[in-house]
Amino acid sequence: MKNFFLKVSQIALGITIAFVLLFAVLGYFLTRQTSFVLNTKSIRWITRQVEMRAGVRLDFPAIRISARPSGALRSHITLDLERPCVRAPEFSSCFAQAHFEFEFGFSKLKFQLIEVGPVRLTGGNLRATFPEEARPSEDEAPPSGNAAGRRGTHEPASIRLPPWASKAPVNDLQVQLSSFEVTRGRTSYTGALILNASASPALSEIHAQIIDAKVALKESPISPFNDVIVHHCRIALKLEGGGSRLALNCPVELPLRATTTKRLPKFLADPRIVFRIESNLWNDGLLETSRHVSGVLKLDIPRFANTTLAGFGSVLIRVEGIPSQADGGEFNAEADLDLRFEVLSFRQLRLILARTAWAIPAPFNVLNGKAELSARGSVDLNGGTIPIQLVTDLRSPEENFETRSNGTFSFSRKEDEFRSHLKMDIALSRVRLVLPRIELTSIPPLTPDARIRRPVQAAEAEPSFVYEIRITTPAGPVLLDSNLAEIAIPVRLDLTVRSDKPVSGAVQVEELPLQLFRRSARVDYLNLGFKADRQSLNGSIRLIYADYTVRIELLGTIDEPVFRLSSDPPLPHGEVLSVLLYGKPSEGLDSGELQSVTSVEAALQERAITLASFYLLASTPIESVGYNPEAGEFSIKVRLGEGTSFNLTVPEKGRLSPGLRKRLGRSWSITTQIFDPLDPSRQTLSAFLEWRHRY
Amino acid sequence: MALVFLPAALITAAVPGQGSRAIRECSTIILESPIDPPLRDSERILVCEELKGGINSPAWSRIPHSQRSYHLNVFLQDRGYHHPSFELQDGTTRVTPGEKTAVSEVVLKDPPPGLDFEKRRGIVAETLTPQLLDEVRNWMVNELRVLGYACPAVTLAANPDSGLIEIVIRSGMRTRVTEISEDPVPGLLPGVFRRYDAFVLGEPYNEDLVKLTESRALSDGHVESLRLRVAGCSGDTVRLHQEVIAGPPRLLAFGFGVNTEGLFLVRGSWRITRLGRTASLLDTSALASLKRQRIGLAAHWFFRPVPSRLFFRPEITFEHQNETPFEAITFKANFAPSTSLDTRRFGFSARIGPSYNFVSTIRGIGPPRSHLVSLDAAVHAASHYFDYYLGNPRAGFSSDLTFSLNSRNFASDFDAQQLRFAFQGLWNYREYDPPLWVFGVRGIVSSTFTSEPNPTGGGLPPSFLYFLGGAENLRGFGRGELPEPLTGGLSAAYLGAEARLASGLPWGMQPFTFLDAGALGTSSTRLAAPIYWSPGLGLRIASPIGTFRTTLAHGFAAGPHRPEVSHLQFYFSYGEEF
Repeated sequence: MKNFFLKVSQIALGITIAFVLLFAVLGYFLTRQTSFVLNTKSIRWITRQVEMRAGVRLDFPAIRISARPSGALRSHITLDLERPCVRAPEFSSCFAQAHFEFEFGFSKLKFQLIEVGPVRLTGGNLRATFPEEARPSEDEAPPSGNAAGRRGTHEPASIRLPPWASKAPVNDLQVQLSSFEVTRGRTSYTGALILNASASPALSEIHAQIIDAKVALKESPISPFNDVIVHHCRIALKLEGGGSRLALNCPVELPLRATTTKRLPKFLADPRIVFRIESNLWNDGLLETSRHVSGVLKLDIPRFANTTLAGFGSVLIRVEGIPSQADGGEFNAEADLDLRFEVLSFRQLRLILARTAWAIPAPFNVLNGKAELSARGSVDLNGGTIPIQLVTDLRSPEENFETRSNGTFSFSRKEDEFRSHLKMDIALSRVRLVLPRIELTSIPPLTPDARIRRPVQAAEAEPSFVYEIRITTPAGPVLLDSNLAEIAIPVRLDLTVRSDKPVSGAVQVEELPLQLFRRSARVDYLNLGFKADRQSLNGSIRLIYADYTVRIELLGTIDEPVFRLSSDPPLPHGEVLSVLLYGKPSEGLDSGELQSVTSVEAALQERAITLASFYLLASTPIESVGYNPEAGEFSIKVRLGEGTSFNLTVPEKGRLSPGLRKRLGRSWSITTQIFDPLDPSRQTLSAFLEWRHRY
Repeated sequence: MALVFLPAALITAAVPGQGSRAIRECSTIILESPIDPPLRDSERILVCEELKGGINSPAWSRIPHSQRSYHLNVFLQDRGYHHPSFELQDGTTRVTPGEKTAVSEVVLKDPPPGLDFEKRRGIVAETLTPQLLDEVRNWMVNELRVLGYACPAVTLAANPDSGLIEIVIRSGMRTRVTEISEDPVPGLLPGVFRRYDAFVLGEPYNEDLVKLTESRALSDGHVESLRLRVAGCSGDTVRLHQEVIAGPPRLLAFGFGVNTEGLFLVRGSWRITRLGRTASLLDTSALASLKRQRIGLAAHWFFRPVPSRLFFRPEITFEHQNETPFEAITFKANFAPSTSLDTRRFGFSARIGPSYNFVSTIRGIGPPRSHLVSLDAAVHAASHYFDYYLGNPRAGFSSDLTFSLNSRNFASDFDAQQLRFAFQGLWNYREYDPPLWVFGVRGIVSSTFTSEPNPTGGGLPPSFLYFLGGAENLRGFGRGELPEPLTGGLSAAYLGAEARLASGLPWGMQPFTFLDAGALGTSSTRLAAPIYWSPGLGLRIASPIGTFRTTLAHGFAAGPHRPEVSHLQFYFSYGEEF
């Protein structure tokens, strides 16, 4: 028995010594004669195997391999590849130079990769195209994890490495891509990149620093910012507990591209937004949007300022859920906003926008001062409401524009649709504006005729952006300077401007003293109402005479005003007109004045007098007034001073009227009768140019 | 408040190197092609930055391109340019106005029965502008009011691409005039002016008849202004309200006319227009021309309480006639009760009463002196639209029947019964508005029935004899030139037809062609040869100061006649119509 165990022990020892010697010889060869194993041929063989099994092809015209022992059973390998290219169905990447250093050796009877690095990939370019991430269909079981923290079983996050490589840290990895283009669906990223990275064994922790990167976005979701530039962006990815944790500390720069604004003026030296992104995000997978994500993302916008604009703020975003399930309500993102944007010089802003579609119109474009837009509050990024405030303090020698506005910007996302709604209450606190010079004798059209319009397409989609802006004057009326009034016209506003409806609300002219019909008058009130497509008029003007008080009521619409004249004590309509125009009853008028009164009355009846012509009638010394119902013209001859007169003819709106008598002027008319002047017994139409005088 | 602008020629100039059509309106606007009409000074205030004299406020001294484009778009729309384009180039707005849009079609929605837009000319193919839409709307509203819809609502929409105008009509119910309220007129009874109503209470509303009523009331001069406005609609009824500016009651008037027959015509009248509370009228008038001079005194005495159309019409006239065939002085005094009546479509007036006539024949045929006590009667009938279009004849019918009975048994120097019927009819081809062709027919039939011997040889005064020739009948002959010799006829008949092109030519010119035919007879009931006829051409010009009319015709005679009767005849008048 003893001999049996001795013989067995001898055999076992012999086998063990043989294996040890074999491993020692093998280890010697691998560590001392690396080139015997690792050479061009073998590497090419390896690349062929990788291509066959994984579909990834590595090409390189030349390779230099050097090896040196770095310890017992350890070898330090240096690989230099000339112009290597990696190609796969979805990507291709080539570098000018690839330099790999790694150490391998035997440890615990295992062949292992001990350390990788430094690795240098320089002069590279990358082209990659990935299909858009497919959305899971309704029939598919949703992946595990949800916004409320539902986490189902899943494979722990890990980067699979072969066992012999799983313990080697990666030190000093540097990648230089002079150009890259990554396309995913309709989104495309192009740019350049310099990346430094290192990783712990099994890549359980990866630290990277993007030294310099510039990415251009096609179809940028943050238009008009189409470029993203990062400098010294630190990224740390740690695999732990079956998931991954991503920490970012990235300064990001979003420049305004010149083509976006057609041409930026030279003085706008710094057309960009700079902010810092910091994040601490947990993902149940390895940066997989189909896995649960939770954490915080912070954007800090440091104060930026130039001669025109300034801004600063921060956005803190809390995320929870599965990003790929955002449409299904499985992803929550809430943000705390504190953003402020200032216009430091409104005049400079005017210059910037002068040649764009957003040019500031007159009379606002002579104002200068500051404006501030701020957004503060919490909002759900899937759809929510951002409170916003706008303050303006603008002025010029002739004008003021001080406003305080509060509102909300609401938005919602549904599938690919993004809808937003702006609702603002603009309170005009101190506003004085100058109206353009208007000549009552020739007022140009100021707005398009709403009757001439292209038919609305029934199939038009609901607009993605709608607005509702209410303008009020709680602190006092707006003052409007006009050449038509001696003092500024006080106007109160309560108007609502909507993107999908005509303007509604009211404009109210407050009590205003005026000179009308050569005496002091008082506008008690004058209201313009806006509803649907109609503008209604409602006003009252009082004139006080020695024996009468005349009231002029304005009714109807702005386009067709109705003037109702009344008096106290009551007088017939014609008498009121007579008093207005000439300061005395009709029995005190001469024939020409009487005809003027009748012409005005006729024109009032036919609604041939507009607001402008009524004001002209009331504010200018009248020589004569004529109304020609046949031609439909209301004419006013006014004294302009220095012996000049002006004829204003307002084309009317009626049609042919009976032509028994057609007024030509002050006392002249054409009278048609069935009367033969040469034979009164005969019935013949005859007309006379006639002068008439009543007394 | 003088407006001082650089003359348009200095600011507006062709842009060198830009072709002949580009125009620089001002330093910031270039029009690639001219626009019609050009920009007005009041429009330049809103789009140009430089104005001489600096009359614009500094707040409006800088107008950005987008604002300029907005205002220019409005101005161009006002002119019918609906597809302009604007481009900013080196701080200048370059404007391509494009072509004007013409109206291609007019579509009515919910039109009531009887509304016919086809007759409205001058809309389709015209430039689509806001003013044209106003014109269409106003025409439509008036047309609806004429059809009886007193309170219609009309809205328009126009497509600037296709030129289609859509008119949505809310006519409401067809209304009847049920009530007329009035402002009191000092010194007059309420309802005085109802005697002029061309419409009937309870009948469907017609705005034309309301305006005709106003016109009738004013023609007698009672008041300076009378307006009947719609006070309100309720269901199928409409209330009218009358507003009057009376003015002083005395009216002095002088009138002037001209034609080639009487040369200058002067008329003067002095009238008391409101006598008593029923607005009776006293009129003194004088008329003078080369052919006739007349002085008269007449009254319209409304003796019954209002509303009444019955009135007495006493009248005294002195007249001197100096016609080619004769010269005579006539004194006439008559007293005729008169009245009038209006139906829905026609108006009638009638008078009958005695008159005393003294005729002194100075030259020509007729007894040296004649005294007559006559029973005179006259009936006038005319369609309302004949009166309505009196100043611009285009449609309607008018007729007059007069007779005068004289008997030796009733203080007259002779027995003679005079009968005259005259008519005139006008047709507007297809009732176009404005009219395109107007066709007219007029005629006169006159006869004197007498048993006096040698009536045409001096037995009767000239007023009982008939002459043809002149503007009133045969325009190819001189006034009263027929018959020849100038003895007058005991009967006469005339028929004339005219076709006038009523629109389409500039300056209101309306050419027409006509054919007149007539005959005279030496007996009361038989016309004798020759038949006189005269074709001709004429021109009517409706000027702002009245109508001028001229004709050139050639007279012919079918039958035995003196050669010199047939000749060219020119005629010119102011104020006279067909």
